[in-house]
Amino acid sequence: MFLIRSFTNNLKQYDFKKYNIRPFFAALILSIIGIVTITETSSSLARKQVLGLVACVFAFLFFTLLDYHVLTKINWLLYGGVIVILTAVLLFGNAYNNARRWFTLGNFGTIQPSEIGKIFFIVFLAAFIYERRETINKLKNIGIYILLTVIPIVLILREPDLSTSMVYLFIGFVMLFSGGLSWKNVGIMLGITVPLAIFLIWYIQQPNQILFAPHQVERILTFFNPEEYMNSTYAQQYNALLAIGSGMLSGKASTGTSELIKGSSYLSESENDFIFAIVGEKFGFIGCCIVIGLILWIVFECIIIARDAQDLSGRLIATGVGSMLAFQSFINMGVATSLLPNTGLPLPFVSYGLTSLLTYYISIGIVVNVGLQRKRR
Amino acid sequence: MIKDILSSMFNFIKRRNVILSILFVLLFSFVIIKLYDVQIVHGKDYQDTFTYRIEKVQEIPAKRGSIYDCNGQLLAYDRLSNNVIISDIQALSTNEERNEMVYSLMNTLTAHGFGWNYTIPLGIDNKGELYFTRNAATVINFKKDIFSLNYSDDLTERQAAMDAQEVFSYIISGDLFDISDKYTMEEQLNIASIRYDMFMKRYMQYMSVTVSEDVDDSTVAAIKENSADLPGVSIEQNYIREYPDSEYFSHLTGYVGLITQAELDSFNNEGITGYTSGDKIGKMGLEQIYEQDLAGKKGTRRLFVNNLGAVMESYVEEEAEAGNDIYLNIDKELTKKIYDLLEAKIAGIILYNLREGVDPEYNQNHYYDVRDVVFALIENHVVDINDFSDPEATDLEKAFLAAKDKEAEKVVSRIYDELIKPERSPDKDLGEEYEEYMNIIYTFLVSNGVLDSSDYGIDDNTYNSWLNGEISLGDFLFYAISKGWIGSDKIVKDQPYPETSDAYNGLIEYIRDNIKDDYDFSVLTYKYLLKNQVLSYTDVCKLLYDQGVFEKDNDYNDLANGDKNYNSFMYQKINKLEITPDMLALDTCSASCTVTDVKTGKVTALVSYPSYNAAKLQDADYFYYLSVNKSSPMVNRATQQTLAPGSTYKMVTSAAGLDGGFITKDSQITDRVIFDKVSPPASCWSEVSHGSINVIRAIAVSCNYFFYQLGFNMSLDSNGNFSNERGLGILREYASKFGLDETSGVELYEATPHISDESSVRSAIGQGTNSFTCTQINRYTTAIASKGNVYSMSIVDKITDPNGEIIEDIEPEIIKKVEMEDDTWNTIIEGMRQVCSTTSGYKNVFKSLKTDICGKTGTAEENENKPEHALMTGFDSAADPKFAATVVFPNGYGSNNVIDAFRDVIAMCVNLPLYNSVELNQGIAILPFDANDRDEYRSFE
Repeated sequence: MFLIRSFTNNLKQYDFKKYNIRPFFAALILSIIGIVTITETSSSLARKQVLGLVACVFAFLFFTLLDYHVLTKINWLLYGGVIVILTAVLLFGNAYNNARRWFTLGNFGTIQPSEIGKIFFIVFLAAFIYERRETINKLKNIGIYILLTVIPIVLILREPDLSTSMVYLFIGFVMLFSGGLSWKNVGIMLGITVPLAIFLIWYIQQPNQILFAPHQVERILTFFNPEEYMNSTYAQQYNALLAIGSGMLSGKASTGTSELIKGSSYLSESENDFIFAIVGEKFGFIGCCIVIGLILWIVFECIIIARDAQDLSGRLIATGVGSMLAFQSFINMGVATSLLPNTGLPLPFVSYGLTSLLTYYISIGIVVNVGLQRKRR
Repeated sequence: MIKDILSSMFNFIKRRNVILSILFVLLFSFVIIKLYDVQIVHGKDYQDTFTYRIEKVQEIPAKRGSIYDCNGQLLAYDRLSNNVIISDIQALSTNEERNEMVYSLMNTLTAHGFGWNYTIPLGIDNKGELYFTRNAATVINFKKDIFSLNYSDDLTERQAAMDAQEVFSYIISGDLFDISDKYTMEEQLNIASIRYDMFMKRYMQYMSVTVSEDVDDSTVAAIKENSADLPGVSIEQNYIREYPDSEYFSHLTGYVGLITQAELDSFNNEGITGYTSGDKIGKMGLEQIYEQDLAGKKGTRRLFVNNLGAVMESYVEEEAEAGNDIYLNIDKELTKKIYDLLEAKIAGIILYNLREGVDPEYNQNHYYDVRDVVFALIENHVVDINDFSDPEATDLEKAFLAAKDKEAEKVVSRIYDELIKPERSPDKDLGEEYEEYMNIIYTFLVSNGVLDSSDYGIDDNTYNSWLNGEISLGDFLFYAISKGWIGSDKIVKDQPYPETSDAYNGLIEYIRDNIKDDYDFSVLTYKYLLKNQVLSYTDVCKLLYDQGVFEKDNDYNDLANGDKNYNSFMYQKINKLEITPDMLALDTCSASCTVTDVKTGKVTALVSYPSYNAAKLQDADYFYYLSVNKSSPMVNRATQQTLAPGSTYKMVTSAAGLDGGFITKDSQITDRVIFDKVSPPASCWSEVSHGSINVIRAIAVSCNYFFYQLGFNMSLDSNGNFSNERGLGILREYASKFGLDETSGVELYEATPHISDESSVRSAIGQGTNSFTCTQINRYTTAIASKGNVYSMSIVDKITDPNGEIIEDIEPEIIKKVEMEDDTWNTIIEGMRQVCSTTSGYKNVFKSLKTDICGKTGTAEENENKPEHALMTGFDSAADPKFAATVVFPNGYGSNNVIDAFRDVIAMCVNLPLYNSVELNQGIAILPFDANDRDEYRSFE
């Protein structure tokens, strides 16, 4: 088929001296930290994660070798696919905790379309902007861009999954910014969204608001008044702080086994959304900083690859991936440290979850491919 | 130059990806700063002082609905009980403080007369030394707990070998509870036990430790007043099920007990939710049948606890909902009086039939030999032979045990010799005693699983021969081995496939070595020791006192100094109702009675003797006694026992005869005493002919011949050919019309009736295979009284919610009507009226009632080796009947003995005095009304 032929063709073209998989190693270390931490919670989950990791390594390698231009050529197909699976999950997905976000794959676990959709969303937007790179600041193009961004966001909001849709929003904005949005337009957009956000934050706390679902309201209220919600919605984040705090400098792993790692027993979702808290308990401040450092390292690798990319689409892809990684990691850590209201986003490479792991390894795989075809150095 | 640097920096910064990079670094800096604050600055605080918030859900028990009688008197209800609990284990932190608190608590409880749960397996013997009070497995478990291990295998050898004193020393040492020597050893043990209970809940501290249950209000007040000295101690309320006067009503109410896993599973399968293990549910009777109504709904409480389980905060999420109440048609006072009456009557029947020196070969009257009655005390576990080997046994008990051991040796030795002989004698040649021993050995082998009795039946010739005593048990066993019915693995250890003779030898040796431990074998040994006068029956009576069945009284003194021996002792004890019929479990030991309102079908009394105390079922000893008591106290005789109705059936035959056109009310049949048209011939109960009588007189005098003839006539076809099926079919038709083909409708488990399918002539007088319960006979009687209404009888009147609003009102339905001419009804009823008013034997009993009371007696033979059943059924008035009553004395020696009981039940219903102005509840047996007129009777006073 066309893809296979172009794949093998490209293999010959690659200059493997530029094959930089440093980000891969950083990711691998993060995943290993993740697995070690997950074992505290459940060894069967840890085992599944290991299997998932193996699969991801293969996926990663594949995408490092697949020419990203192949993907950009089929960008509308990718976009269509994203819309289809997002719609499908609303219709056929598993209802869990009042949300339809997943498909079950029997014993394999679940797959979350909004998660895997991110990378294809990035590729699509990159290609879209690239095709209109001269005229991107035209109102028409901006308008279409916004529309194309908003459609998947709306679908995700209907699941409902506010936090993932915010990631999509951030990606959309950053990519447009990176793609050459004029400062004037940047100013206009910020001028609209920032006041809007502040207004919404005020509005959601009003007693008769109608826009937001009750649990979303509760989250914001909890964030602003944690003492009042100690025994209900704040409990989880409070327990997370306890876990992190008790790790102190170097964590309980280093002080020996007499210290019970209690966080994993008392903290729910300690294997995915709150895994950072357990990392903090187990490995302390030093451990947390190492994790942050590793993530930043990958982000910077993305940015550097972006700078040296062969073309705008490659640059945009790399920037998009880096931003997605940074933004999502920040949200996850922010929640775990009570800097942000409670919201469920996995920590890339570390959290338990096949879909998330796959998404990110594929993402950096594509970035590595961009780097493989870079112009300079 | 600086401008260049600055502008290139500015340009650098203007680059978008740089902006992004700076943004990301900024974001993560926030996180790092927060982490620093949490982990470095406040890390120690998080480590030490702050506590996790964990959510737990607790159930709030619901008050179970009550069961009332028709006048609103309680038969079953939930009572709030106050339990003393330690709910906050962390209130004190040092061992010394905790021990002091526990000691204070113990003193407070003792001062108010209450104890506490003592759970550790240590005790002080009468030499003042410590010993383990439970078995080895329990002790190992205990050690694992106090050494904080997960598995008993983790105990070191040293620990596993520790004796009681060493364990105790460890417990009171600073390594565990640090209980100071200022307390006495006994106090230390008690403190240790409560500390142990607290210790076992140290990781589940939202669960409290129950120290003492069901304390009184003054204790509650004392604990609340002293709460400063008793930190962590509080009062928890729970419900205890009460059954006032339980013995009278337990067959109706049933009882509640802990739900089993099997019951939980079956509830889940039926879609019944809301039950968890630890709940109590109804196990028998109305408690079980109306479980869903009575149970109510548990509430939930949410707790927030820290990581040790101590409660930080709690609130009630859902209140518990009380269960619905059930009101019965049953009259409590009437039931009590009837029950007492029945017990006194049964005792009287036994007394009347007690004799000295009964010859078992010539005992057509089925008298009870007093000596057998004494032995019944042992057979029925009233005197418990297992207690003879107790360390605290009395000298007399020890003497009995010694005698038994000695005799058992002899018996076993002789049996062994018999069985090992190459030529074995048939069992029946061994004499009665050893034949019985052989039977016991057989039973022993079957119940121990050595002999698999499912492999053969009475069609096996060899087995049959042995059953008849024609061959030796040894021969049968040898045969059984060869057929593979013996599980050789239990007896011959080393050889998997032994030779038959080796296996046989192994089996005999197995019997020799193990039979002495068999309970039934021991009982048999005592039986013959008594029979052969090695031990005395009088001593058995004394054992009643030694074992605490009776407190020593004058009777005991008389026994001790020889003024009384066993026969007068037993007579007086039975007469005083101190030894009750259910304790003896002779053939005559039970009774039942049903009383129904004729106009509505509501059952106002449903009585079954013997009975049990539902409130005492928690007591393991009591429950065990109930399960081995051969009088089966937990069987409801009124609903679950079917028996032949005897002559009480004759109204069915009369109805079939009159309504079916076989006779008119004037038709006469001449009683020829012996009815020889069937083979074997059937005879009337009276050897003197009743003459030529019509159906009314036939009912009145209960002439069997009349009804045999009637049954015979029904069995003839138009050509005069006799067919059993024809007669049975007609009788069945009318029995069914009267509802005898179905259960009565009473809301309890009831046995299914059986309409006779054998011998139409005999069925016509209520024999054949007719078999009905007291309730079913009562229903048919009600149908007669009401001239045709067959009710679905009901003991439940209504179900209300906890506020008294009626949820369900139960009106007994008339499920069928027997449509017959008014004249037919009047004929039958007149017959019944004459039973009570004209029959020479009975009329004096009923005269004092001054009513047109109607009744029909029945004497039913079911087993020629046992006394006949006694029944009477009827209603209070021919003209305006209100109550239909049925009284049954299984094995009651014939209907003479039930007449006054029936009369008295009716008298109680209509509020008239009892026969002979008998006072109930005086603790006196009531002899049959004509006892003193009969020659053979003498009392043993």
